[in-house]
Amino acid sequence: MENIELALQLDQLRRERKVTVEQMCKGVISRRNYSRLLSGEVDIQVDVLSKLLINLKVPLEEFSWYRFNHLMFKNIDEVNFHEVMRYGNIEKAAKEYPGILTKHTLGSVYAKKAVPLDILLVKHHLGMITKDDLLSQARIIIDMKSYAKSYIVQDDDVEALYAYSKICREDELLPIIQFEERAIFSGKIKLFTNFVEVAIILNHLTLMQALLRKKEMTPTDHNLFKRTVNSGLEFLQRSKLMPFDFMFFNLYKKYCDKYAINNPYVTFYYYAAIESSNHPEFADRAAQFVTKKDRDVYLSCLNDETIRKGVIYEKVFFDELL
Amino acid sequence: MNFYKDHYKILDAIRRDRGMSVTQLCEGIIAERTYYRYLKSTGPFNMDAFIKLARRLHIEPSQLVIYSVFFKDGDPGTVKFIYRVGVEYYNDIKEHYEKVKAYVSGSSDYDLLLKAFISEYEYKANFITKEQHVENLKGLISKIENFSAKNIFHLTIYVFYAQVMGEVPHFTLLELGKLISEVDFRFSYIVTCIATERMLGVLIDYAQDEKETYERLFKANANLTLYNAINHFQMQNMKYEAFYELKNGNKEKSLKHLYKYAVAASALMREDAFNHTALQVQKHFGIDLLRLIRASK
Repeated sequence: MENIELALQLDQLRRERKVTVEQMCKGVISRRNYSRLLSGEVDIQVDVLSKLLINLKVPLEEFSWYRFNHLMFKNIDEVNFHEVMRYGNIEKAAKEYPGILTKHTLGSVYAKKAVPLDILLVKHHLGMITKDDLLSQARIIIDMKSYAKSYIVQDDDVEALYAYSKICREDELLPIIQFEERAIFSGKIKLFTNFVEVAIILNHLTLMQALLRKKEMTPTDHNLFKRTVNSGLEFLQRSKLMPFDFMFFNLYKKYCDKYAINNPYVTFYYYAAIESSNHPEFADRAAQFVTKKDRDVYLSCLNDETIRKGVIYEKVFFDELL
Repeated sequence: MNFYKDHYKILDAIRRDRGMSVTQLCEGIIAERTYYRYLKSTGPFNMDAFIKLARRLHIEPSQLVIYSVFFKDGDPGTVKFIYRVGVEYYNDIKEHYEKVKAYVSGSSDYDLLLKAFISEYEYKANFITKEQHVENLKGLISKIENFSAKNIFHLTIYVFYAQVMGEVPHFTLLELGKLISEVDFRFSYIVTCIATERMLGVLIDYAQDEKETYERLFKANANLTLYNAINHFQMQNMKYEAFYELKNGNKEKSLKHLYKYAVAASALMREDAFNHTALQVQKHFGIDLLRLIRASK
């Protein structure tokens, strides 16, 4: 039964909290029925669960987080593999997680799209499939049409689209751009996710990346890119996520370099994000991403006494939007 | 509060979004009639069937509960408030503070925890004095029923007390540090991150000569930050790592971590917070943060 695991996790919490079975079951169910729940003989009703949690003084939502974290750690290999891929370290993913390529059943929250797409990318990297095979199979996994009609997206959808936006053909960028514009600005798409901050910033990164990959950006594209930067900065002010700040400023700096926009503070935040990163996927590779010129710009901005007086990122917002 | 009244409604919204029929969803799990009954009702339902239905839609039932509580109308923003106090981001906290303050009235463990966070924020924002904050925390500690050494909600209240007093009732600081290093962080992860990070600060401030507990807690914190993308915790961990290396006589490694901390702080902290941490670093390491950045190659 599906809920034996749930009952056992509940009992583990009870024991950790030094609450007796009598105390927890008082006024809810008999000791005998509690034993039957633990052995899977009977199903648990949600109101019984809620009342037991009240006696345990554990809010239902905290118990749900607890269960969700159990799931994450049960599939921690998949989660770690995906994170290494998300941060672009395909060599490490191929070397350290060979078991994922042949895993029969994927069980993490990234199991339906993101990890299968990661696996294809690693297989292509190892020469096991061609670029055409990669793209055709990735296209099936992504199923871009499902995004076009969807109003509820999950972690898996967001993560997979970010990966796909890096490899798809240029003529496939438009639906990605349209979806992400809708996800970020329309307010009509709900994020069904436990990692809402990561999902929001990934939506911004996907849109910025897709726009940057276009050979020529139209004035509308430029405006959208700037709106996305401003929206992303507003979000990063609150959430301050590492290493997403580096990924964000990396794309922002690429845009500035490509279109000759001179704002030294973009480099300041870019340099600070990578240079201070303690993230295992970036800390050892920091030197690949920055130059001496970047450091000089950073040090020069550091002398600006106003930089820490205002709100963080104040100096890198675009102020001329159409 | 009826936390489960919306579960089937959310499940059904996802079903429709995925283009799956009720027949396809229910097949072999429950009768369609039962599904519609649960959908219309706000009453209890069978968890086993619910878990199976959720998994058929490729979602975890626990996700659904969290979503229905936090992202619908069930939660007044307690997590957002805790998060903001924990990472000391106060720019948009007022709205959450007021909502949470109006919401908290009971004496469950979670209520006591929220009250501790409210007091912590009021103290940091200079709404109350240090003495009032200490009295608030003392009162909360006295209200804890069935204290459990594995309950992070209980332990966090003690940590807040330790931050301002340099001591706690019932334990030594080292005992408290050891207990925090041993909690199961799968339960209330973000509160565990906050308590662990703050407790390391307490040990640096009040138990500098002690090594074993600091090391134990530092390792727990390093483990926590592996699963945590929040800059605040990552940044603080660099400082704690610098202190850990310093304690172990590795001055070069200590400087390396302190440099990372300094660069992060230079970009992420506002002037008052930066100046405060620069003074602390000067006190504990004898180093000027800005000079450290400029001298580094």
